[in-house]
Amino acid sequence: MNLGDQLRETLGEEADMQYATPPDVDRLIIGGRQRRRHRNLVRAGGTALALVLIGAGAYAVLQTNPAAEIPIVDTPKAPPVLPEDPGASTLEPGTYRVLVGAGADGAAIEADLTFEGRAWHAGNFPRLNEGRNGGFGVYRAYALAAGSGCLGDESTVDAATTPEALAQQLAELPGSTVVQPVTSTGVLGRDALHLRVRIPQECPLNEYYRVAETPRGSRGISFHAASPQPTVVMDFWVMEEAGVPVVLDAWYEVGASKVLLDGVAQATEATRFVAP
Amino acid sequence: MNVDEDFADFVRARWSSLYRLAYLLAASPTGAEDLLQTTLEKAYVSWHRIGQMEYPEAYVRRMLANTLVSSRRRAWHRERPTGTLPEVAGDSAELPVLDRSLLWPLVCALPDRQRAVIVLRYYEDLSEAQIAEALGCAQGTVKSQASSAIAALRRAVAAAGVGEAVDGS
Repeated sequence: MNLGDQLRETLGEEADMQYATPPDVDRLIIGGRQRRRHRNLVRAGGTALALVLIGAGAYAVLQTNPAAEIPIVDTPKAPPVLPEDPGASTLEPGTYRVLVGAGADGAAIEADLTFEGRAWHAGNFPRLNEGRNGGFGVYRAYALAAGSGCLGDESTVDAATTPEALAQQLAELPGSTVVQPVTSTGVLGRDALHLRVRIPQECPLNEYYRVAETPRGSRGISFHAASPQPTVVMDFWVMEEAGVPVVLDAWYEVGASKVLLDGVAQATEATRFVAP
Repeated sequence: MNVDEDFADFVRARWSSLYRLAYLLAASPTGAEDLLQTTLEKAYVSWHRIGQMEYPEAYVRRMLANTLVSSRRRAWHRERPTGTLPEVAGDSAELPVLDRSLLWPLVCALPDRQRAVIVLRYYEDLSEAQIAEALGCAQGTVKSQASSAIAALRRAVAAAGVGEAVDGS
């Protein structure tokens, strides 16, 4: 028997011995949708970048020594995309990449989020459950809650295009009370505007309070079947990234334990923007 | 039937078959799951087109191999294709019958690109032209990769004390 025949036999036998666990089709579709959104954003940015690169490339050709070698650098593997399972499945600890939104030039802004422990639940904005709920998120908001703030109201207001104006809008979320007014601070190594609000969620049963609309869907903060939902305390940091205002938020339900607060704070501080 | 339903039906029906190929390409169960998930997410993005093909599974199977090697694309492009090598040196020479438990670990030890070529050739029964198309490289590159892989396997078999007497030319 020659090596080719033995390879055919070996590979066939090895493959036949494998048992695949059933696929999570919903997760695949969610991942595919996220990939498509990312691709569309990159394409939009690519059109703008192409004009710049054509000019820069022409200049580089004139300036570069043709004998010089371009070093080839292996780029580290990107973390997996955050699964947007809308159910209550547990999120495996680890680092995940999320789409934050589009920068001023149309290119995608991405961030890596790190989750520790086994109490994080999957979703477009993961939630930590330790009796009470809490969570954090980083996103470019294109609309903010208006009207009652409840999803069924369907009224939103366009998000402002400067950090100052956006922070002011967040201070006026429906039904909210400002606990700490807008002040200049720093977060994730960037200048930011911070404010803290209390939001008593008075939405009808089976609805939720929607803070903002984002490229990853609605930013909701309601996770109980009962109505009214527990009051939420929410911190916002508004900063500029890639020429646009970006929101980092962290929230918890009143009555949350120190373990939950520490878990949310730790994950929030671990947020890292991906270098373009 | 909408695109999502069509895609979901395809995944459920072909998952086991695709997983087996992913396992051979990635050479590990966890690597296979990652590879298959990444590939199917990519396939979903273009499912309106792939789903209309006569044999969508054949296309997705090639996507699996392409996804595996695409992360190494830069290194791949540094290799120099050649058209002068023999048609996979030595794969027709007789060998003692090897146990699967010996040969499979040797295949796993091959570099990703060489393993992809071997799997596509001997498991998928693709021609060199089809492999080149699937991996997005020149046919000469496929030849050189296959030749290197076969030579490495023969050396490893010989080192294991099984094929010393075989003429490796």
